[in-house]
Amino acid sequence: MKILVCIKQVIDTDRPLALSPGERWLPESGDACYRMNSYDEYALEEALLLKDCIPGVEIHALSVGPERATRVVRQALSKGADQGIHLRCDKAPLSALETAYYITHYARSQDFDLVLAGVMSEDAMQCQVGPLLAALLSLPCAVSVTAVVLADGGRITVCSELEGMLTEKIVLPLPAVVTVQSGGNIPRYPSLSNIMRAKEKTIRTIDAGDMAAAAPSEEFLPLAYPTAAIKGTILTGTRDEKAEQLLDILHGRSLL
Amino acid sequence: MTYDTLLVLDTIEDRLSTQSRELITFAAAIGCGDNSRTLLFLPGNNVEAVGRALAEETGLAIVICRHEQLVYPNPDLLRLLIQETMAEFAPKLVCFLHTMRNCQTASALAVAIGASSITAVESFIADEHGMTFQRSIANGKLRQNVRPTTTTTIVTVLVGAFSLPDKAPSGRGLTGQLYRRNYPHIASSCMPLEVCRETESGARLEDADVVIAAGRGIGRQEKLPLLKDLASLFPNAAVGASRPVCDRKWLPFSHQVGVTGKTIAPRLYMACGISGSPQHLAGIKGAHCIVAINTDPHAVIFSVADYIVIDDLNAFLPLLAHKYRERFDHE
Repeated sequence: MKILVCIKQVIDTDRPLALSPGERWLPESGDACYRMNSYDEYALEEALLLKDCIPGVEIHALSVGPERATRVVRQALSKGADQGIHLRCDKAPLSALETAYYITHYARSQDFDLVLAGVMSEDAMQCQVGPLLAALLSLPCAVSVTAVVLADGGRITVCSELEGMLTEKIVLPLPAVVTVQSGGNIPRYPSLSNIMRAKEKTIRTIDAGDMAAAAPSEEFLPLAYPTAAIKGTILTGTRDEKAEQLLDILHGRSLL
Repeated sequence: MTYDTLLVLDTIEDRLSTQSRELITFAAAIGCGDNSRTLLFLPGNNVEAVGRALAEETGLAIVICRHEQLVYPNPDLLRLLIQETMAEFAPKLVCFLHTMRNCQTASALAVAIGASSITAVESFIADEHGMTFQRSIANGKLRQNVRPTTTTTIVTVLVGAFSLPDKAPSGRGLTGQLYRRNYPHIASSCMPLEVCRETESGARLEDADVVIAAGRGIGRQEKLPLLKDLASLFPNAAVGASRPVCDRKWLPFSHQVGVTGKTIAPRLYMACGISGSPQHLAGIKGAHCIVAINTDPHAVIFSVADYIVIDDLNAFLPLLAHKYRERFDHE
């Protein structure tokens, strides 16, 4: 069984993000500011869990992005992926369709039984690359999945999370594309021996410039800070004073 | 007959999602108050009664699309059915509520018809360049402006970004045109088996007057007693959490507040170490008073908070509880 896991390198959104005027995407930052998209960590873990219990599973970890994206591919290898692929592309932002288009090129060159991706990326938050891949590859798809179980007859059963605390159980024929939601598993840490082994593996680099690109379907205009300004009251003073003020407010509103 | 805008409503087991109606407000905003060129699309197995009631209530034209495989959400099938409807009514804008399932339908539809698909839209600008849709990126820290360059555009609209329409529409009193469509020859290889409701009990968030909620900013599971202690000071309080806290198993998912968890409207919501993703904020829109405690002065949660405390909650929460007890003992 061959599994493709799509991984994105994202900027750590907890950090302050400084925009230059006219920027259409998040400014390029130091290496330390980037990490694996957390939803993709869950997707990778789901693939590794299948590998743990089914013999003969081969995992390809792929990332589309600039040179620095090889770091998350290496990280996937050190967690237990078998092959690492870097689709090198310096353009930013990429639309979800452009990203999906590049991945489709690679996926078509292999016979994958299952394609996994995070339900969304933490930076662009589009929730589209997975289902676009499915549409481009003409494969069935399930999104926001928290568990993948191999069923009889070349099928999988997945638990797919709906909004409002509902879960849908779906049966899909393989090959299929599944996007993984957070919380269904606990992503593992790489073992030291795997880290050492991963260092020796070669990451295959494919230049996206050599591939046909998707025709653009939207234009990205310069980014902005949210306009929603602070409307509430900022409590000021020492910590003691702030606590006193808050108690007064809560008391005044009959909440305490 | 053709329409400009198609609004795809959500049903599960033939029940209409209330929030779907927010799309009607969105379309009215785009049409400058005029929804006469807007068509509703209601999918389900047996949604005739729901559809008729909706046409009466809103006065809008509606496609009642029946398919026995639509008891549970099936984006694969839904996409095919919408495509049939689009071929007949030629809308240029197709709108969904922003759910993961609808993003799937939107993506599949976009590839099938060569349309632009823009998700999690919060607002829009209409000017001489056409429509520009605005959405959040980087967990709500920045705003992206996206302009479609295709003839047909598909959008998913963030839950809570637009309000529910008024029950009595602008006094027209006319029932909308009904179009009943069946496409029995269309089928899907994806088979939804059942929908389960989360039965995990424990957190009675919906009934609580006060919710003290933990975000990733609390740092460690060991810090939760600080929140529990604070909650114990209020007569009817519960501890809630943002999604990352539940993902890390610090609290069960029954405590989760937000689009994928619970939507609540407590008298007081105290957000401790919560940055405020759009999905989380949509779940607390109804809160009467929001107090946000965070060390990051740029935390998005501050934009919706009534009272803001920029401080380390590990020091602030125990002090607040201590001061409360001090006061209480003196009284």
